[in-house]
Amino acid sequence: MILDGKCPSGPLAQKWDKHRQDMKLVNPANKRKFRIIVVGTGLAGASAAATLGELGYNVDAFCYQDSSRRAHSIAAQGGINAAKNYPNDGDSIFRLFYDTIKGGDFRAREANVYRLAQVSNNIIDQCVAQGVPFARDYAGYLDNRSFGGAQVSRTFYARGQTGQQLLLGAYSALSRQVKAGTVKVHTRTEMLDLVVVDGEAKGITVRDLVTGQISSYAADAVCLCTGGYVNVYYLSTNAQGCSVTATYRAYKKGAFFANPCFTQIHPTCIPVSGEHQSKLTLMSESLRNDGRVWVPLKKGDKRPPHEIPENERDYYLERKYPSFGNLAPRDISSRAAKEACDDGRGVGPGGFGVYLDFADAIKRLGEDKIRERYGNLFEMYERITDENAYKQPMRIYPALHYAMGGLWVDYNLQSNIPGLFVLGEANFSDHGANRLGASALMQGLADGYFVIPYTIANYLAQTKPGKVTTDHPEFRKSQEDVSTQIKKLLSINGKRTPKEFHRELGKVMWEHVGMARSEQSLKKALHLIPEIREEFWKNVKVVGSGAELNQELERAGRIADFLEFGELLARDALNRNESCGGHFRVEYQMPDGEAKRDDENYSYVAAWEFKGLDSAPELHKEPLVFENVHLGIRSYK
Amino acid sequence: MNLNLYVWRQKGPNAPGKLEQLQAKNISPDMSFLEMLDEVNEDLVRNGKEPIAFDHDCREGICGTCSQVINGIPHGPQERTTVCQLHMRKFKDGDSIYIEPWRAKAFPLIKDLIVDRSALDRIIQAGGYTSCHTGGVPDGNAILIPKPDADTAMDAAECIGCGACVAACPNGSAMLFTSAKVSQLASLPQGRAEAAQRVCVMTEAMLNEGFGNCSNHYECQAACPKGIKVSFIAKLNREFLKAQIK
Amino acid sequence: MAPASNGCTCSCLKVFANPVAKKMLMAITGIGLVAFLFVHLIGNLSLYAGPGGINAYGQTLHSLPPVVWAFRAGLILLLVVHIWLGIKVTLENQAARPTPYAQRTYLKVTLASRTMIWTGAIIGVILVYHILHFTVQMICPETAANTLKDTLGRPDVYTMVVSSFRKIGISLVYLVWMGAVALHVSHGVHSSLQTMGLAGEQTLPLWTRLALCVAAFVFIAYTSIPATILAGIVK
Repeated sequence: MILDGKCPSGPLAQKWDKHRQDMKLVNPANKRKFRIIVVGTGLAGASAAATLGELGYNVDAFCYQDSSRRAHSIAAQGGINAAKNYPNDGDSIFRLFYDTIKGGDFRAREANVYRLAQVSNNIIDQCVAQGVPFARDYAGYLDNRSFGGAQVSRTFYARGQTGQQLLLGAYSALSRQVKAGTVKVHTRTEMLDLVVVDGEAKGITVRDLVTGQISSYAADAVCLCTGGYVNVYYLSTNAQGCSVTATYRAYKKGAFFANPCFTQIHPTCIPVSGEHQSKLTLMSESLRNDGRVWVPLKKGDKRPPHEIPENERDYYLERKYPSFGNLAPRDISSRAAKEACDDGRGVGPGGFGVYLDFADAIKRLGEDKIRERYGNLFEMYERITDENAYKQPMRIYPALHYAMGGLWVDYNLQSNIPGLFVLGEANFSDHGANRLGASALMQGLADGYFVIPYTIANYLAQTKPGKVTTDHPEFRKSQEDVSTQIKKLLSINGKRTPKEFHRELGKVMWEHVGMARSEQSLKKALHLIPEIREEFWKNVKVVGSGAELNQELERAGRIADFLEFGELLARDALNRNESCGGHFRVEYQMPDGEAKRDDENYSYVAAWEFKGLDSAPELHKEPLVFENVHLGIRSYK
Repeated sequence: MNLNLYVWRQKGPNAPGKLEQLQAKNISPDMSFLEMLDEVNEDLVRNGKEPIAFDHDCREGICGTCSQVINGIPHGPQERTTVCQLHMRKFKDGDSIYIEPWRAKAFPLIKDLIVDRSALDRIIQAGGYTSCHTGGVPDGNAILIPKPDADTAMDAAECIGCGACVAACPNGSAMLFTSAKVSQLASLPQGRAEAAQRVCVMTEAMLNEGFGNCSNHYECQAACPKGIKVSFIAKLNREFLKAQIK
Repeated sequence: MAPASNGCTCSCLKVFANPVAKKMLMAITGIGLVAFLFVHLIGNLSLYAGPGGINAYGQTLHSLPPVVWAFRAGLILLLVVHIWLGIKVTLENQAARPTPYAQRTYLKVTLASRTMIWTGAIIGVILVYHILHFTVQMICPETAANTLKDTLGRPDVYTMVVSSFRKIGISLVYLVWMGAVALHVSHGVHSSLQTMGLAGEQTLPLWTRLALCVAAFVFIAYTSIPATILAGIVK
């Protein structure tokens, strides 16, 4: 099936304005008759729930955390982009649009990205009004800094905690609506199923993580704002609770999953220190401005770094990419680090790490200057590794960080199931094959504050409020399905813990579906993952019961979904016979190692439809049409 | 290294609880404290026993979910560090470690080390926001904010809402938490309009949730993983006084 | 925020239920009582001027009953509010942590801050003793100034004080009392300033030191009297 993204016609710059005029409205008196479910309370979910509540809808918001303020958007460090052009350095909405679509390696929808750039300015104003303490200059104006992939300074920031501040802003707006009674927040509640009635999304089934009770909520529309899925790799920079469960179970109910193979690997994370590792910590990319990346020239060189003479070091980024050097783009430097380590020249325990050396910068600028620029990062590094990076080089290694892929949505952020809307990282829509720094926060808030309030009204205006209640047989069936799976997990009583399976899956994903993928490795993964899954369902040990707080059970349920989803991700990667952005197929590269895109055959969104666990999913394509940008080679040389 | 743990175990809110002695064996000094507990839990599960329930999520010190009193100090012995960022190299082989939940009437226990901190959410819901509508706000640069004010607001806004201040306070008071939000918004022109009312309703909410009174032990600042200062409590007090005089 | 209201929602009565208002009332009454300590001290120190000094002081006071009673009424009010709130706040604080920690390590809490209710209780009990001793004059009736007059026919406060403090037991009671007062004040002074919003990042450490100075001064100044009497310096 050829999918229609439902982009409005007309000139790019007028599409959103025109569309807003064309969409239907719900009158204020009728709004309170509608009930909307919002799952997830990160930037997208909290902003959507707060705004919809303020408009007068009845909103039920759900999150698995103990408070809506703890969603993982909180961990974003760098900043948020907007085309304000305050520094007068030539920025514009079009330029932000162009940088984003080029950064995404021309695999995103033009109209969506343009709208994102348009509303980016409103986001900054909104956050300032909420009391988000953005950095200011001495005159009292908002400060900007530059970020990867852009030649202008358009990034607004609040120290190194921009995500935290924006999320707390959205959380405060949400809290205001809770007080006003328009939003009810259900914390420690996990969505385990989407309920579809007569082809439309009309509710969800959830598990109360404290009591274990399975129950359903009915609504007129459902918004999934449940974030990304890179924990399928076991180790990532995501929070422990981040999972694919909500979107994957929607996928199993008929929603299409788009471009799951587009995952972002961040080059500067603190390396794994042993089998016990549970999570990877990101270090701001800005460190590469002053640090030099190197590994020993000789394989298996175990000498401490200061004993390795200059001529026995390989500054491989400077060697391979003389013009960009240590500032080569994320995907390229990540891959180069992996190659060096695969070559047996990695450093640190396990050999999975490369040096990021500040010795030259300290010699040039002095330790104080480096401390002033990166003091907090060096401190964090020391806390985790117990190493003083002023005295010896840091060790870094790439880690999974963000999912560009997600549930397929049209221009209205509505999936192929009417009534099911998907916002933020959970959808696929704006970042193409690679996301630029400081764009994730922008997208989450754009979707929640400024897009969904309009587009959801257009859908609701064409339905009758309260059409179905939880008495409908579909709800009963959904609850039964969920309960059955939980009972099954608890009854296996095998020998291995859920975590062991997760770790095993992660290894397969990282090795075969990681930074450098090949037909061979992907086929291997497609062979290995079902084996792990099969063993999981025979040999997993989940202790405790379903009628209480049971973190092992929660984990097992999420891993069960990862074990199916990993296969979908690998299948998508195998289908995409090109390299673009975060998806790198070793068969498709330029002589110099750059990604080789195939615009003729793969300029489309791959949207997968679930066809049962035993049969292959069906591929639907949404062709990507570029009317306003030229599809160039994405070279940063 | 090997460690002797004394962990608070309690099946549910009304069940009796006690410190249970558990062994943590072959612990690497590079593990985080939570990774050490992960190992202990994996062992428990393999032996068919219930693992220790504890709250955690981002594991990078920002979400504020992790919450354990370690050897009598919320978030453990390392200054300005959450449990998830505390590493085992801070302990010695053979050490005994006491692990207890946050203890306060306003934080009812759910299971083992997990407590219900929704009281903090309700304090924010009482008034920890500016009542701006989505859309229809002025340009971000329309109102200038002196850099010192923006910096003060940011200092206060760093609070991660973990509740360590309550756990540390001998009185179980939530003053540091409340004062951080009051101070953030009172430092900014956008928050001034509602400053008087905000400080009243938020402090009232504190009382209604069963938190104790602040008697200036300053223990909260010492335990706060983000180093939120008690000078914000003084600022809250000033705001309260201003609200009364007005 | 809450539907339409300008300014504070707290009504006049409700305001005193507010935890911050309660603490402010504690602070204000506390500061008042510390001020009284200084006023009282001036009278005490007139002892060093010999029998003439303190006996004159005593007689002057007693010739102005309205002033004395107004002063006493004010003091009683301060005390009642301070004690009542102290007990209320302590009970609330204890209720806020029903289950204690098995292990507790304090980083910042001081002996003084932890024992305010107990030092307060000691102060209260010995205050009663003090009133019985020097106001009602029941403790040592043989040297009661009400009956014993000096050469000018004034109540002989000097002899009453000196002969009382020669008894080690009585001096010890006052020593304990002043210890409790000093401890109480060493927390109370900076705590009051912080509660009244008069502290900042720079000033709070100053106030903490100021509180210690006030405590030390009060302790030394008051206990100097029994000390010098016991040492035989004042006869």
